Amino acid sequence: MKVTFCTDLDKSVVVANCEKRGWVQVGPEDDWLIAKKEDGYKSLFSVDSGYRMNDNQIINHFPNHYEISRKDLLVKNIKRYRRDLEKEVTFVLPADYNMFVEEYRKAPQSTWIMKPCGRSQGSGIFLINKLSKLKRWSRESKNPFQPQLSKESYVISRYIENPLLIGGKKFDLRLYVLVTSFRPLKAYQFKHGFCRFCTVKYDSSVAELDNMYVHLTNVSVQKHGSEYNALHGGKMSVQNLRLYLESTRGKAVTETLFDQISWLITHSLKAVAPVIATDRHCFECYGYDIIIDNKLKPWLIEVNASPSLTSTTANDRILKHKLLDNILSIIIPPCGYPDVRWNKIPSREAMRDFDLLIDEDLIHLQEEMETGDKYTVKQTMYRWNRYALFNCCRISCLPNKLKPNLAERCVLEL
Amino acid sequence: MDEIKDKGIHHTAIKICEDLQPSPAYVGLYKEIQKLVSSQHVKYDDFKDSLTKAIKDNGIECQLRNNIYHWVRVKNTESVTGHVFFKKAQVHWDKRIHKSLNSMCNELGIDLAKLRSTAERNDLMEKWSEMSNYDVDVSKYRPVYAPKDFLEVLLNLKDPSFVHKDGEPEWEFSFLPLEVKDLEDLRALYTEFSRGEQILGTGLVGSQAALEEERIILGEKVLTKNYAPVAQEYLKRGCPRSLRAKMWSLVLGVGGKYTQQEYFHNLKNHVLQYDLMIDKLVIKDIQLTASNDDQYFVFEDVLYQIMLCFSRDGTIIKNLKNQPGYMQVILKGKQPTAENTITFPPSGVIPFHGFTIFLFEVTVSLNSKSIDNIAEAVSFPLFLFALTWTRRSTSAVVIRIIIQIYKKAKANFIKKWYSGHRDSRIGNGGTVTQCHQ
Ligand SMILES: Nc1ncnc2c1ncn2[C@@H]1O[C@H](COP(=O)(O)OP(=O)(O)OP(=O)(O)O)[C@@H](O)[C@H]1O
Repeated sequence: MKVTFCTDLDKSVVVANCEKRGWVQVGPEDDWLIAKKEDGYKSLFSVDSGYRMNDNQIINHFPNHYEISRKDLLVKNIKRYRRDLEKEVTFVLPADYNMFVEEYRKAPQSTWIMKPCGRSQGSGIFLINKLSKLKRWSRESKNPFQPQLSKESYVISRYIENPLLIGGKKFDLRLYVLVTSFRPLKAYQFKHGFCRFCTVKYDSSVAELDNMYVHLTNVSVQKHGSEYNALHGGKMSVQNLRLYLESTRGKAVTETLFDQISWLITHSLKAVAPVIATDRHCFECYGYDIIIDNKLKPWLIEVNASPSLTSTTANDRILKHKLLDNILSIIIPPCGYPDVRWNKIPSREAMRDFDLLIDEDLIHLQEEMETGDKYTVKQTMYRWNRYALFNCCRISCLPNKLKPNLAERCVLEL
Repeated sequence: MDEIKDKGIHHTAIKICEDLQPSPAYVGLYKEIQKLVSSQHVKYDDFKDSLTKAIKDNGIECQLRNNIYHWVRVKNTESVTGHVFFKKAQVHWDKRIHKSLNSMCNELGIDLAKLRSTAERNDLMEKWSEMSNYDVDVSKYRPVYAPKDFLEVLLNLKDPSFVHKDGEPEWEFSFLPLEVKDLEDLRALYTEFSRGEQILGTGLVGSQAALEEERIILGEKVLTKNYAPVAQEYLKRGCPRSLRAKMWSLVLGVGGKYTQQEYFHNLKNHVLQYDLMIDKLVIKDIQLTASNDDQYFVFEDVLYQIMLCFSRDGTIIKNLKNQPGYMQVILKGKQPTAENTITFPPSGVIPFHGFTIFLFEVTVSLNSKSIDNIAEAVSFPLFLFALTWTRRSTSAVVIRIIIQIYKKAKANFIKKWYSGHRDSRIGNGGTVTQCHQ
């Protein structure tokens, strides 16, 4: 069968990977089997577009992926997932303004980060450490807290003031997660990823509060700095981070950290699973932004539904090429062409550099048949206990403590 | 007979005491013993026995033993005499390097050593923790030599007594006789390797995880013993990353709590005071390698500090088995008196292209928490000297060359033995086997 693909994203990594498989690129009007689209896919799903995908067509987005990738919606969904919140640390402004003020008063010395909900690449982000500054900002911005006039809403979260520093600099982690289905949840974590470093040494003093080269790790911000080096782009591989941590902190704590990160990801997916319009034609790759604090606790910062495929360095290109290749390897059934009737259980070989995070089908299968280790789910799956939930799954917008019964309920859900 | 033996021990003890006194570890040891003496463990009327017991109980005996072990190690290096042709080759090499240093200086119109002005000193001091922002033009400098230049020299070493036996294949680069007659002897000479034990970092990936677990458990036991010779034995089969910092410090006898800070401070002051040509080579090397590399860039600032201090560390030249050549340089514009003369380079080590990268592993391991802790990282020079300079020493060179020979011959029977050496890069558990003679 001839496989055709269609993309509105003219990225060589995409085209090269598809052509390598002998697939043929076509325009959106032609018949296609695999679509990689960044915009305009919404119309595909809407009722009046009249377009219905057949069994051999797949697409790289879920209809409403914004439930996880929009900052405010992720907050909402995770809150719903943890209905029993005791304490809020992320708010959507202007809607939650009063709640925020209440929270702010409890710890007036802490710093907060303001991010416009719909924007990305660090644009429009700023830090505040005083309520008066927030008030001034709201006065100065043209449409203050009057939702009907305000074009932009913001999320405000507690700023992680004690990030782990290496060489004195702050960094965040970019990891990739492939989801082939939300109900049942099937997710894979890419082994490779990178740390994005700030170019200027970290300094939490008030004087540096407005210096974005100190606080924001986005490459789109850092590349304008005078210290930016285009050869490495401020990116270090996750493997190196692991080696560094093993050398300096020990092996056990390093493993725990990475286990916790996998947990964090699994939980964020479980949080949105109920609201994602699941569709067998869809798969999606998410870019997870995670910050590790100096106590080696991971915090989820953001999930991007269209992680950048632009390569800033040579190693970046290698990584992204591999990412695409491995994604295609997982989503295409053994027959070699897309088929939504497939059970979406790839062989271990097909997973290549992806690790299985969770596959609820397999969990059921295993429970039913006790089939030994034909498919071993990532080890951490079984270390699901209360400790894990309390300590790992703190998302930047989650409370520090969760009620115990919640942990138990999650166990049952699995 | 016994009497003579007793006397001998007595003399050795006196000699050790004399040698120990100026050593950096002495201050700490002395302080701890003083503390003990004033504690209630030591009784006035039973001074000798109670002190001996207290020393044992409080782990000081262990420290003492470690110090003696380091003393023996240094002594051993003093007494080694290499082959004459090796020595000659070394002198020749050193001359060549010094000549090219001098000619670079002439060409660029700069001096090997001069005092820094107050302004320069302040500037450097201010940028000390962020040396990547230190503005100095090194565009005209070039690395004095590359590792491959050195390799070439090694491969061309010729032992005058080497005869080519009939029936032996012609090797492209082996003009050194083997120290053994046959495979049996070779096995005897390298018993440790011939046992065929698995070494961490070599062999199949699959088997490594279990071995690493095993080594971690054993390594932790070794560390609680705190006894350097045991640690050295342990290192021979490879050390997991997570224990390297502690294990290396133990074997090398560095990282004492009292003296490191001060020691580092003195080296730093030397950097602030003197402007040496070698500094530019260091800066150049970091700029060419670490700064642009996605594995190393994060550690750039730390590397500057360590490399500059390292270049000033005179203990390295003192402890080197085959004394490398060095120059006595008079500071620019000064009278040729003793106080205006410095050994150049003070450490005896002239960095080659890529030298900094060799430091990486050690830096990462020992610089455990932050740059404030960098004094701890200074323990690396000794390690480094062991690592880079044993490569010049006889046995290490011979091992390398043997490896080359057998590689060429594709001699299957030797494979097992060879696998112990194969992976001897830095950053690998197997390396350490090379550092000890
Ligand atoms: N709660 C926080 N504490 C500390 N730092 C934060 C926090 N939230 C965000 N940051 C920093 O700000 C940067 C930008 O945040 P975020 O990724 O949410 O914004 P963005 O504009 O959507 O960026 P992009 O779309 O490129 O990922 C992050 O990379 C991180 O370094």
